[in-house]
Amino acid sequence: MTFRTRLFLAFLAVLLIPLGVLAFGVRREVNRRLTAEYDRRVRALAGVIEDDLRRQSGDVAGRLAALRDQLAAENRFRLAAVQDDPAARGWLLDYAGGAMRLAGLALLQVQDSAGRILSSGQFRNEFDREEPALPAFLAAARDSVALVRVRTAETGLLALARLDSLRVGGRPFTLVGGAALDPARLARADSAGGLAVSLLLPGGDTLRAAASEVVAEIGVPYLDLSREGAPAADTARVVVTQSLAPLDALRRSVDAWFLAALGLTAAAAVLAAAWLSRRIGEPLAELARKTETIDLDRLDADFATDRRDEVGALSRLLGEMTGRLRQSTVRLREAERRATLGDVARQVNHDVKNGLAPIRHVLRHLSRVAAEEPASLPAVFEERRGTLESSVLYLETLARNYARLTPPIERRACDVNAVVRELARMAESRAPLRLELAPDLPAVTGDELAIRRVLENLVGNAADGLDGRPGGTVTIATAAERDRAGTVVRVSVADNGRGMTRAELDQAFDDFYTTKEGGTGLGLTIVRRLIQDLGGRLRVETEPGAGTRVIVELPERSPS
Amino acid sequence: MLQSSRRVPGLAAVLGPALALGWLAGACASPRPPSPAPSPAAPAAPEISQAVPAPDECAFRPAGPAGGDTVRVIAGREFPGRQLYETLVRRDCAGLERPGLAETWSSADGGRNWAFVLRPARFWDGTPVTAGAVVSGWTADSAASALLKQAGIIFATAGSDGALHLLLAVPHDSAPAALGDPRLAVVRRVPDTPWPIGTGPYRLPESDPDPATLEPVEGGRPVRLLAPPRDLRDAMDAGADIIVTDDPGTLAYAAQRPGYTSVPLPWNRTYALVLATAADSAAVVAPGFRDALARDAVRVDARAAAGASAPPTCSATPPASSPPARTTARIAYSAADATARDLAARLAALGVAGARAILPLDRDALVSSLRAGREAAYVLALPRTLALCQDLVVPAGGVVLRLVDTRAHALVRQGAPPLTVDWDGGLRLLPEAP
Repeated sequence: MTFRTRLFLAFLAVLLIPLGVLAFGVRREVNRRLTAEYDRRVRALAGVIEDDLRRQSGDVAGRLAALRDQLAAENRFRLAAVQDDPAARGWLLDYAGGAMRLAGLALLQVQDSAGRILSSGQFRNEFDREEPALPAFLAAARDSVALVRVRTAETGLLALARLDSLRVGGRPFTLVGGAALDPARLARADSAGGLAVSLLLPGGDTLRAAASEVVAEIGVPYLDLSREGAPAADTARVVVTQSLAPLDALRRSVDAWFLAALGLTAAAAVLAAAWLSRRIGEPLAELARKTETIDLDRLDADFATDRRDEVGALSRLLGEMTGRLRQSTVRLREAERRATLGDVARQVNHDVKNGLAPIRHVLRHLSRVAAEEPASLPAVFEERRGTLESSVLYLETLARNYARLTPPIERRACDVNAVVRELARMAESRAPLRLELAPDLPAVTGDELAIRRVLENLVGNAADGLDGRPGGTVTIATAAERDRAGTVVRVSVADNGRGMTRAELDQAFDDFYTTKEGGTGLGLTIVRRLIQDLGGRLRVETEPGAGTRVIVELPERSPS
Repeated sequence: MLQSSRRVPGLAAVLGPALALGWLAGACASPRPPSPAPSPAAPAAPEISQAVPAPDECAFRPAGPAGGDTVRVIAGREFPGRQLYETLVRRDCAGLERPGLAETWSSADGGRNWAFVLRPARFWDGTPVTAGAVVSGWTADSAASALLKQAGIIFATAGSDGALHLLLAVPHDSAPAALGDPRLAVVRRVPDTPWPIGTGPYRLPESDPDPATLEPVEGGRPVRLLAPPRDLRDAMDAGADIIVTDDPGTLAYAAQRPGYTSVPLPWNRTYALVLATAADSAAVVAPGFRDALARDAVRVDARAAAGASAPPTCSATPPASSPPARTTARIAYSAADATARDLAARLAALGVAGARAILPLDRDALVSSLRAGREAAYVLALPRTLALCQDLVVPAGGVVLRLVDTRAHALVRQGAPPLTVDWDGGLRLLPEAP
């Protein structure tokens, strides 16, 4: 994994992990508070419902007591119920209906001791039917809330019922009264906030809302007289349910916002991480790339930078190190040259001796002939002349080759434009030349011969690179440039010839690499070493098919 | 010509709300399809002539002098028709035929040919009433023609003797009674007038097409028709002269008002129970059951259903297919009829036909439900003269049982005009003494 990738992931982790923890914590706190609030409301609602049922039941009991007193004092009731007076029977049959409405009740029955209905308010014509289960059930419930479903003509009636009794003429009678219980009213008790109240009767509907949770339950004694068969006491349940929908919606909303925040932050983190890793990684990669090109023969990499951060410091350190390496290389090469000078001297001695030996033999032979047989001297001379010429030629070649390998470097002020003009006069025959010389070009410190050898090599390569193509031109240009290190004199030799491929360029400065027939492969090696010795830099710009430009930068001569 | 019940409300609605279920009957009321009265084997057809009418025991003459310039009446929609139009024969509250526009009637051949001699009378516009006018009025009215046909009268014509002659398909003595139907009242249609012209003692004011006042033709006080208030006792307190009602509260209040007399009208309405099967009728036909219903279950003036011409039960054709399945056994009734509700509730309380609940339905829904036999039982209010087993359309296999008869009362104030009561409870004002 690259440093840049690790940097990227680290940024992501630093940004996203705290945000995730924050989201989790907030969500958990929201849940806790919502649940607490719901619990409080549920308890309050359950209390209100119980109080309401108890209050309604007490209200029924109060009204029933008033009816009891009034009925006990009513002579027509006494006539009808005790004396069986037919004339009062009609009054009794209608009594409960009127009294029930007057008292604001929904259920009123008058029964005798056998449970026979003498008068019914909610079902006028159910008289004479026996229904002892109702007073027995209410008597067992005593003063607590009790729920009954009684018959009416059309349908059943659900009521909170209470029981009262009276004695008339020595006979006991019971009064059953009730207030209608509207399940819809219960359901309206709290329709807000996801709480719902419903009444569940035995054998009735079950909870329909699947996403609801029963949070409170109130049991109420219940008797159903509307069904066929013997009625049995049971328990109805007032159920408070909590719809999970609002809570879920709130959770979803919180989650959605946090996810949105997380997404935005993640996107910002990705961008920031990418920018930062690029900002940090790219200079390092550039340093690595430059460092990769450094070797003892190529110490001209430019590490100059304006950055003030650690990367800039590192780049400057590398530049200084490269400079020190360059100086060390010069010194090393000087030492090497001095070390090898002895070898070369011995080689030269050997080679010269080899070249001189035939000459010495020929001279000794001629001297002996001149002394012993003077008349044959011309003939012998002619005979040995080839040997002499061959040896001289060998020595000349040897001298020329050695001269190439060990150019002497002098350091004095040099006019680069003058060198270029002199070179141009001698090289006009090789290729069309064009000079673009900068006026007032500052002098450089160096050896005119070395500079000339450099330019000779470069112009020769450029002329070869034209390949004789029509319109081919070699351009030599000079200019003074100011860079971070000071003023340099830039000399460029450009051609519009075949150019070089990347592979060719990578090998161009290797010793003994050549693409020319008969070439030594030492030209550019010598050029680079000469430039290094002159304290300059070399740069090549080339493109296959378009030509090559070699740029030589030589430092301006220092005033000292 | 009698064109519509809307334009002649007193005639068309003569049977009151019971006719809301008139579709149930093949023929709503009398006249009945005739059956041979005398034996076909009789050697000579006897002569039938009009009996000498007894004194009208259905007439009521309030005490005291006439009070007020107008007679204020609340008596239902059929009341105006009885004052505006006359039939040839009038049937009193006891069912006796009495002369109407026909002075006398007779049949020389045992009831096949009848001759009705008209008394001298004129329409409001002065046109004399002739046998030809009577026939013309009937011919122009399709409803009247249908009634005559239903009564077995196949031909009506004005004789050269000025009498009206009727020919029956089969001899029968019911022809005079058939002509007592208010829908066979004698009228004369005049083009471009909304109301037909009659011969009754009252007429409609020409300026008011929807009358609230009846004007006397020959003398007497005009009759003001009042809209019934929510509580009829308010009308009594306001001095109404005649109020027809079956409301027990109003009747009880009238009994305590010395200025009013409660005149019971004929038992004109029968409440019948239609059961899906005869097996459900056991409790209803038990002795004393109907008496208890009439006494305790309903709050109007009622009696156990009776009548020589009305059998206590009748059964329709056995079902061709099984009745529709019912989830809950209920007894249906007309939502507008409190007495029907009381009866249905009592029957449900007793579990008749297995019912445990009652079901109020509006008229159309009740008709539809009864035809389909969707409910276990139905309580219907019908004219008492309806022949249930013959005329009532009941579900296949159903059983019809008469439950109770009910009647209304006329509360007549001192100083009101004298009046008499027809067989169907209709009131006719009699001329006041000068």
